[in-house]
Amino acid sequence: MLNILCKSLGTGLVTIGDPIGSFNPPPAWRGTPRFDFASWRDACPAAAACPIGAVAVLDSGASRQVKVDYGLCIFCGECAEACPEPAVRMERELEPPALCRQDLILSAKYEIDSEGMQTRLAEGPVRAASPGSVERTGAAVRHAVHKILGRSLAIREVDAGSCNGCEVEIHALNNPLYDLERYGIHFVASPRHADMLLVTGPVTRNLELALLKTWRATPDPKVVVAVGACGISGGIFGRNYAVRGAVDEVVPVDVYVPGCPPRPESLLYGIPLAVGRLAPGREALRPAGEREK
Amino acid sequence: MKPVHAGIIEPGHFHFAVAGEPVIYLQLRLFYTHKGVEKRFETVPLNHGIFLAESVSGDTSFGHGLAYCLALERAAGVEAAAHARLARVILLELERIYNHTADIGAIATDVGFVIANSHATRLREQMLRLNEELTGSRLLRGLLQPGGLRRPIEAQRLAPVLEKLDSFGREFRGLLDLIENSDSTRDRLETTGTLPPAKARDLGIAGVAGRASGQHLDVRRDHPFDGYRQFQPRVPVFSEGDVLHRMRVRAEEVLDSLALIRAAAAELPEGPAESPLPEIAPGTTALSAVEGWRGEILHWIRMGENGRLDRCRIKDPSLNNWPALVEAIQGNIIPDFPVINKSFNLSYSGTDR
Ligand code: SF4
Ligand code: SF4
Repeated sequence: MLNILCKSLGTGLVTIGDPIGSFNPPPAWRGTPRFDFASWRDACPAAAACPIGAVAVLDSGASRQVKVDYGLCIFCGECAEACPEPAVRMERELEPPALCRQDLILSAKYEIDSEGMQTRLAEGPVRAASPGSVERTGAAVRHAVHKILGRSLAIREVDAGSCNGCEVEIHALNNPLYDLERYGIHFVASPRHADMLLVTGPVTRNLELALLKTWRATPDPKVVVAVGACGISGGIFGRNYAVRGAVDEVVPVDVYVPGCPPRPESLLYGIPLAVGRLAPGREALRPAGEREK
Repeated sequence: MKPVHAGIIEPGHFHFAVAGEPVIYLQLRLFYTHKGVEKRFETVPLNHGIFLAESVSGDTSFGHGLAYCLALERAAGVEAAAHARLARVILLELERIYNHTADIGAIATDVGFVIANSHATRLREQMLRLNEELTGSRLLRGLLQPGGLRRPIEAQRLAPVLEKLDSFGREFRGLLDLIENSDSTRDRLETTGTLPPAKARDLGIAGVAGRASGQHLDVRRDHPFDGYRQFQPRVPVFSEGDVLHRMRVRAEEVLDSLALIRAAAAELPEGPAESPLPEIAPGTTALSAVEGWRGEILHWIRMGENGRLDRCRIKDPSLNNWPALVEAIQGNIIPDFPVINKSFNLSYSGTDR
């Protein structure tokens, strides 16, 4: 008993100050690819280097469409490495979670010359405003959790087929450094006790039904957070005979958290964002398969 | 228990037959997370395949990535660059350390010693941050490449990491003391979930679970690859085969990994991080083995046309070891199932692929 106490006292306080409001990127972090569309001359090297086609180029005659999809991106940095221009760089900032799948996609139109160089940006990338309006500071989150949910947010984590990399980072949220419980947020064992489903992985065919049943078992009002490139789009696994695809093809998703896996800070940004959507009076959403009926 | 398990873990279906508390039989239903990974490999270029290999099992990103690289290097008949050969030792051992630390903490939690787990998760976070300091990724992703590494590990980056590893080592020993000196914890772990050596041999149990049950197997020693030809690990083997000894194998391996990292870092040569990978003739086959933190990882490939694989086969050690769980649980009580399961900590995604 005494040595337990000694060890605890010797360790002291390790919890980091509010990780939600203030992200201090570690110096070696690879970062997020950012694209300067106005000065970009050739998107082809980056598109060829991207292992999962998060940068895509579509030429038709003298025009070219360049699409960047943060919902696919695994943040590997290959595009910045391959692109000889400074137009593609890895920046040390988080790609914010999005409330809508389209918000993660940037699309630009160029005119190209005979060599395939982009000469003019004909249509700039339209980007939905970052969901920065949502209260991001820890105090505000705690307030929201208290007000809307009566002190506690219960999360049920659902692995719908992930590689378990996302689980590594979700586990990290519970360690004494990030200490999710300080916001009144905790993980529960049953969907029947949950307010939020945190869904990882490309939904495999073998788990499609399980995910749907889990969603049905969660009482309304509920929110769903799709975690990681796989949860948002199917990610590196894409879609094949075994993979059904993105989470939102099976159940309605409120917040998309990009990353592969998303850093704990990203998760801590996305979770409160979803809490904001739990406001009273929210109408119940329906799973993809039932929407048309 | 249905595929969606309680807690932050992967999905599988466990069917128990019980007589009161004791378990008579356990039936496993897996492959819920089958993602067609092997098929997917056939559609991506070789240099992009590494990213897929790193996603076979996220907590073994480096182990599976390395097995993929070694298979390609063998098929092409080249060795990784000298710098990469030793750097890979450092990185593979880092992966072993952070996962073993987490497992030791998880075993402690499952018998109610939560404070030890707090320390363990704190130490694991330290390790994830060291991973990032060294490679830019908390899971050691995106650095490997067939033929070596994408970027060298510079000495000035390594030095502070080694220093932090020293302090990690001290803290880790403290954690072990805490657990080993807690009689109630030891009492719960001893003779729980025993897998006798004879059974382990018959079932072909690999890795940590095998070594705790008397199997003298370690790919790093028996079929050395890369830097392990130069640095041999000390392989802890016990014959008890219970949860306590699976934990002890992990503990000893962490301490040994720290020593290996230090030895490899001292000899780490400067120079290019990658050697060019020559074209691989269609039809060439190659097999590679890597001792990941769970045990032996095998990748087998057959080269196809236009720079893609024709077929590949991936074996995670979890595939060997699921039957061990079935054996070990028999006769134990249901409340001990979580800790027994954790003491194996097998990858569903690695098994199901
Ligand atoms: S960082 Fe993202 S966009 Fe760039 S190559 Fe990697 S996956 Fe593609
Ligand atoms: S997003 Fe990345 S870490 Fe998460 S499940 Fe997919 S491959 Fe694994």
